[in-house]
Amino acid sequence: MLSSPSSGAPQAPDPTVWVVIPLYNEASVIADVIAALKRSFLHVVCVDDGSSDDSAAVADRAGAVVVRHPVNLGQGAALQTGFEFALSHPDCEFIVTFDADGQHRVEDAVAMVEDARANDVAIVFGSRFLDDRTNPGWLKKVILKTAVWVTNMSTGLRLSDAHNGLRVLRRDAAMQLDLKQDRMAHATEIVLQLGRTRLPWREHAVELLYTDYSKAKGQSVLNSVNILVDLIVR
Amino acid sequence: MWIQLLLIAGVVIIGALLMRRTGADSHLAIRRMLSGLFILAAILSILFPQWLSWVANLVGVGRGTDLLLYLFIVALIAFAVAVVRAKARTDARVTDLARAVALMEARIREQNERRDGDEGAAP
Repeated sequence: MLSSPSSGAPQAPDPTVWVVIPLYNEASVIADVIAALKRSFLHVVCVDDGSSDDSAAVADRAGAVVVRHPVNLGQGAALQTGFEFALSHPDCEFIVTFDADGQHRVEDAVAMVEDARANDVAIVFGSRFLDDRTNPGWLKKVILKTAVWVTNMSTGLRLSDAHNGLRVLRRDAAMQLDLKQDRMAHATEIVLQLGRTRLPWREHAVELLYTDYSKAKGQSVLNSVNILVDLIVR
Repeated sequence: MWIQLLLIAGVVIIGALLMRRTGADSHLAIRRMLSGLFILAAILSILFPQWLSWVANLVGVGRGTDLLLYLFIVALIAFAVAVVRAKARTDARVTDLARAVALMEARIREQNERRDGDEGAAP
């Protein structure tokens, strides 16, 4: 590994960062997402959450390490599995969580890791609401802002964006995570648990690419009802 | 009356099933005592329905059948809560198990790849 021809070059993929992608039935887009990430990061881990299409095989061919749930457990469970896999490697310093559907920009992930390193921050949350590059549409904005409000109420943190899948976690922060919410409420649970670590955190402006594909896959209004109830009823 | 005979037979059979050992039992003794009480109370109520009415009047309910309905609803809700909680516990265990399997498989694949890499480099 150390003698690979690209190491030492300024554009070499970062070997200390592990990108964790929860993967569930995204075979049509995952290869491009992984290819783009591999240019900047050496380790890309896809946690295949029991996909019924050939997502896992596609991810494997694209050069990602695939960790495969034998049955579908949910995105929160996939993230927790990814964290545990990444942390089992001693050279893992940072974990980046990244969505499989291609909404996130790799440049943002790279900048967030640099931000964490430069400012000695343990947690960097991506936020689409720190600048006006992202336009989610008014209905989605209302839903997302409600989610932010609920998250801030229950976690004590003051975030501008809650359900953003792009995050950077330093090793010490990731080690304290133990996500129990298998389904979508993990987005709030992760903020809650990270807040309890009392480690330094910040938000970083990112752009979300609302492609037709990600729009079709995005969380529906009904799903946000589920997220609310999941948080109250345990 | 025939109905009493049939009901008593049913209660005794169900009670016996409830008292059976089912593998992992942390509260077996408690369950058996409660089952015994249930059988006793059920048989008494079947043989002497007026006893049930007497208890109902004691707590301010008009008829024994009404009291039975209220108790039934409470028991049903308690049962639903117990089932939901048991399912949540099972789900959490399935998550842990599936995660352990996934991580083990990935680790084995990593080791194999490393070994293949070493063998490829050696000659």
